[in-house]
Amino acid sequence: MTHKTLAQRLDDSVRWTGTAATVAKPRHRRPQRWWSTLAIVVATAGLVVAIGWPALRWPGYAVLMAAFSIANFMPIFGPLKPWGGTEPIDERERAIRANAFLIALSVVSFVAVVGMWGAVATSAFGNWDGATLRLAIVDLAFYIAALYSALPTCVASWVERRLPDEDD
Amino acid sequence: MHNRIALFRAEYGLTRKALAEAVGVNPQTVGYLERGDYKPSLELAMKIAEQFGVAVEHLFSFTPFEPVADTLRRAGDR
Repeated sequence: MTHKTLAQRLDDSVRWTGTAATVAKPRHRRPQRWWSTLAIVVATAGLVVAIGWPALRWPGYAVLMAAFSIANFMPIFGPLKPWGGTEPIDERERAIRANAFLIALSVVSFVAVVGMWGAVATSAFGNWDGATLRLAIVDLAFYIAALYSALPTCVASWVERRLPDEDD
Repeated sequence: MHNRIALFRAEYGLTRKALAEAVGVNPQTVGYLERGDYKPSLELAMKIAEQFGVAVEHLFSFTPFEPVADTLRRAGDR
């Protein structure tokens, strides 16, 4: 009979859950063309409705949050491996990721600047109160976060056509 | 950039996965290289050439490679 240390028993308990084996498996990444595009389109629609039609603020916000939720899955299942992750990445994948993030971050920066100035200008001309402006900024923040999650995947998925997995 | 990776790989009986593992890239990258859709770094090009035991210019070229049939025909004429 072997005597296991506490650390070994803890290791065994983790292995017993199956989590360790699941994490060790290579992740099946695929282009997410339609899901990422859907997330961006729906988020844009939600933002426009939430800010443009005050009576529909909460339905618009709900749509925006649904799109934000979809967008959050894009880095997990999309073709781009995360920065600083443990998944092995080669030079082509690194180049695709750099290109996709360069485009996406340019768009995100542009949207952030235009959105902030747009919100300030609209609040001034539309006589918004402080609460309305705060809600608009919250909507904008979620929209930018959705773009940040979905846009790199969207760019990479549309630019790169995945080759069949089967060898030869 | 033109290359003869697929030709060498077939000659050596290597799968894309085996070549990819040997040079430390994703099998998809080997596929993109063979199709000419990705231009490798000098390091990767040299690793692949080393794998086949040839000089890098035997694998990669700025001009299209002569078809194998022409090479064989010429060799037969000698």
